[in-house]
Amino acid sequence: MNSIVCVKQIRHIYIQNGYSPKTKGIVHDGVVYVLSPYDETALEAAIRLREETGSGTVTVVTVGPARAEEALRWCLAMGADKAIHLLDDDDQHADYWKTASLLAEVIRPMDYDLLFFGKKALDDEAGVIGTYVGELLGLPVVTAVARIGLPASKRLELERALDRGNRESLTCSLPAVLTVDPKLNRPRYPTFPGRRAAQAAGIRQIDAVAIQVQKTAGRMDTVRLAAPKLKPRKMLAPDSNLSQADQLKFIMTGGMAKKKGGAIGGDPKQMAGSIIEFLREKGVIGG
Amino acid sequence: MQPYHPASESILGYPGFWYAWLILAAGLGFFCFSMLKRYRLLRSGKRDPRLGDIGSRISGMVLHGFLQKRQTRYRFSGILHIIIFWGFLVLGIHAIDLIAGGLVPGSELPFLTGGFGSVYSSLRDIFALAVLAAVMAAGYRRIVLRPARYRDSRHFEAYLVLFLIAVLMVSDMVFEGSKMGLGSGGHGFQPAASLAYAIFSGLETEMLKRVCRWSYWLHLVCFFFLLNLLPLSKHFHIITALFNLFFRRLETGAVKPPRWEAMDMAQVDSVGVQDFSDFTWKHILDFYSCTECGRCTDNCPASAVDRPLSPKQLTMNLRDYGYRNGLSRLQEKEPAANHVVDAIPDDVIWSCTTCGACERECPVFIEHIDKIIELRRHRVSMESRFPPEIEQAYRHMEVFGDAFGAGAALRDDWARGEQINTVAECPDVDVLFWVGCAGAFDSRLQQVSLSFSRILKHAGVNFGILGSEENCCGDYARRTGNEYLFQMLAKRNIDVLGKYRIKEIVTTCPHGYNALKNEYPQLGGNFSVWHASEFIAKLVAEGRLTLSRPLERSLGYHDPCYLGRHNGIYDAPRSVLESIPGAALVEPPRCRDKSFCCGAGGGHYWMESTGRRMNDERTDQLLSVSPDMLVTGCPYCLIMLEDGVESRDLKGQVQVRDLTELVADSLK
Repeated sequence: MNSIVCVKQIRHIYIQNGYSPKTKGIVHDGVVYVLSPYDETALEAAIRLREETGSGTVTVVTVGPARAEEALRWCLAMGADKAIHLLDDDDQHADYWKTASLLAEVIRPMDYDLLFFGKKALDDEAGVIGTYVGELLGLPVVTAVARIGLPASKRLELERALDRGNRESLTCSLPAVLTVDPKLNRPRYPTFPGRRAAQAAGIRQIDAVAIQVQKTAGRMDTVRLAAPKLKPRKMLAPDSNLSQADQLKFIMTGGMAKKKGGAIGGDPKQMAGSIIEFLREKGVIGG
Repeated sequence: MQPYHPASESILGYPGFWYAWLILAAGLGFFCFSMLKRYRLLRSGKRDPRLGDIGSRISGMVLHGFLQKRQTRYRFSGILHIIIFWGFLVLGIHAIDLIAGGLVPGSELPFLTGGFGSVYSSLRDIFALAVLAAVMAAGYRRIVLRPARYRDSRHFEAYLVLFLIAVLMVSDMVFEGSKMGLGSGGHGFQPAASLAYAIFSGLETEMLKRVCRWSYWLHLVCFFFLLNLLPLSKHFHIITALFNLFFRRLETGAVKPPRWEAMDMAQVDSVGVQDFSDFTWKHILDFYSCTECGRCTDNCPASAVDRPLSPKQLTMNLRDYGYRNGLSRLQEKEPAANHVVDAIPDDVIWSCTTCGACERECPVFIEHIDKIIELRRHRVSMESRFPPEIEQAYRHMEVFGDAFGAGAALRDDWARGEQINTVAECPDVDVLFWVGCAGAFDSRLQQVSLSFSRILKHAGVNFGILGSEENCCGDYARRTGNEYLFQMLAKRNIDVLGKYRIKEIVTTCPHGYNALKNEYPQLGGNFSVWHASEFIAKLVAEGRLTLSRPLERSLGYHDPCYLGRHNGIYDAPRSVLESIPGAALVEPPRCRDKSFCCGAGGGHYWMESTGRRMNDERTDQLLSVSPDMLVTGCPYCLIMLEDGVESRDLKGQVQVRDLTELVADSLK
């Protein structure tokens, strides 16, 4: 069962700064790069399949600039057998068709039964690369895979994760493209021997410009990438003394719901007087 | 006339002394055979350099071995042991004399004649009686009183050895007493022999001779039987303990590097213990030296809160594993089905907080912590097998440089508006204030960092912080067995500290203190490191701090494990607190080197715990002396004790503060 896993190195989604061993100091442009988490799930699935069937190789491929090598090393440390780095300095990755075409060209001559992708990358949330590659290679595509059965004679049993916990079972023929849902598994933490092997491993590098692909110039252009504008919103927490219904009203109107009944104020003597009044009114005490 | 000696008589037609030679040959022969097996197992261990600072090694051996310093931490049994041990030393000479007398009938050791001889005879007899009384008391303790720490120790061996020692003492007394009766006894004050002689005084010569013979041969046989029992029982410590003391670890606080001959992960292919021979020879000597006394387990906080760890049991199990499987794996005679790393259950290994109480109590200086960390290292670094909740902390440390996952940009947020310079802005500082992850990111602990920086400014100290260039010290990574991650973080820190040419560091966190001071040298980082308490004590002594605002409170100080036991800092925090006007220290139970762990060490801050909580246990102990306030010198202890106070519903009533906060409050 030979698998190819396509991975992407992304900017970490919330962290702001990181360490650079080159400058031995802080990276002031404020970015930390990690392997996209769903891609890690995909790689874990491929490795487990290799372990369960007892044979096959797992190859990881990435399209990205030189720094993407770190992500490949992490994959090799987890247990991937081979790594291919398509060097592409285009940092924006906005041309999804181009990225998919590059991958397809490299994958086409290889020997594989399954192509794995994460169901989406967590930086741009596009989720299309797997499907595009499937289309380019003429393969069936199953997205949001949450369970993989043991393959039996060129067919594979799968489950997809639907909304609200629902699952869809299906089989598909091999070879195929699978994009995985994070529910599929929990990726392993690399071992020290894995990291050593990863450091020493050779990575096949291919210059992206050397590959002829159909560009989508004119079909899609990035206009702007913008960071979120922070709009601080005042969150009012409902008074827990209110009834559930009143609390819901409070939340939905976003305002202060009036408490039923009044609140007393004043100094202790005045408050005591009010309480006695109240109790007399309600007939709790006489007088 | 030659004095009577049993060996000069014939037995079954052969000269008596032939039997002495036979017993000697057989006894020593079997003994050498057993010792050779033990020696080969020891030699199969990894390297461990233990010859540095011979002076300290010898003086420690004298203090803790010959003078038995740690024994009296348990007073009654300590005294019993001292009597038996010194008796052994004194009577050992006599044993050699007896054996010599059998090999060449009638001979005596040259220095045992004359005046010294009669002084020795008296001493010997006094000890014989004392040892006899001591073994009887020891037997009574074990059989009737049944101390809890002996649970699961091997009792049969203990009874057998106590019995054998008693037989040796009695047979010796009877032998010397009967010799007295035959006119060939020694001179001078011999209470034991005289006592025996008094019992036999009515016997005729022939009967006396028979008593003399029986007691002599019994003594000889028992002696060699006991000698041969030593390498096969927990009494092996009789032979190995003094060596174990000589070869003990002199440096405190640091964990063993991957290999002593290869401290950098880049130089090794594997780390941790998988097979028995992955232990170093000193670890194996530790196993040999365990007396099953249980003092370690008795003081282990994990045991106290019913976790499965018992340091005694761990040592015994590893020893037994080594005896069973250690050599056979080497010789491939019967390849062992399991590795030693699998012979110890996961929950035992993960229970430990690396507090060091076990090591502090052990009379023979067994090093428990290194072995637990070595077993963790194999699980974590080689098998990626660990409690799942730690993984988050690992990923955060690797990617963000801190276990909280906050990121470098937020590291100097606590210092905003305080006019504290980073060394990047002002490289020329006298001392670096190492803030640590806890002090930088946790909102409660940021108050400690603020307090300490105010103290430094008040005293006019020229200091700076690393700010966003500071990384996690890596202590928790190392102690949970992720050596690769620890070294990755340590090297980053050493690089940054080297870039700014930092030589002096002060920190409020004992874990950072320990890592920077004791462990970074393994990777080439050598710094002069102070804990905040030491630094403040120095400032107070130099008159650079005026503590004037009084604190009319009684303070219960909790000794953090990594400040106290691992680094010997007990007095500086106390002197600092006592220099606050109006502050009165009340010592809680289990203070100083007997301190009870707060529960956060060894990676436990990041782990789930089930069952009884160590911090609750410790909080109860501290509150038992009813202090107004709890004080400590470690950020993690602070959090754990605050949680403990809250779980006892005392949140508003008992404050938990760091000592730096109290000092800062007291500044003018």
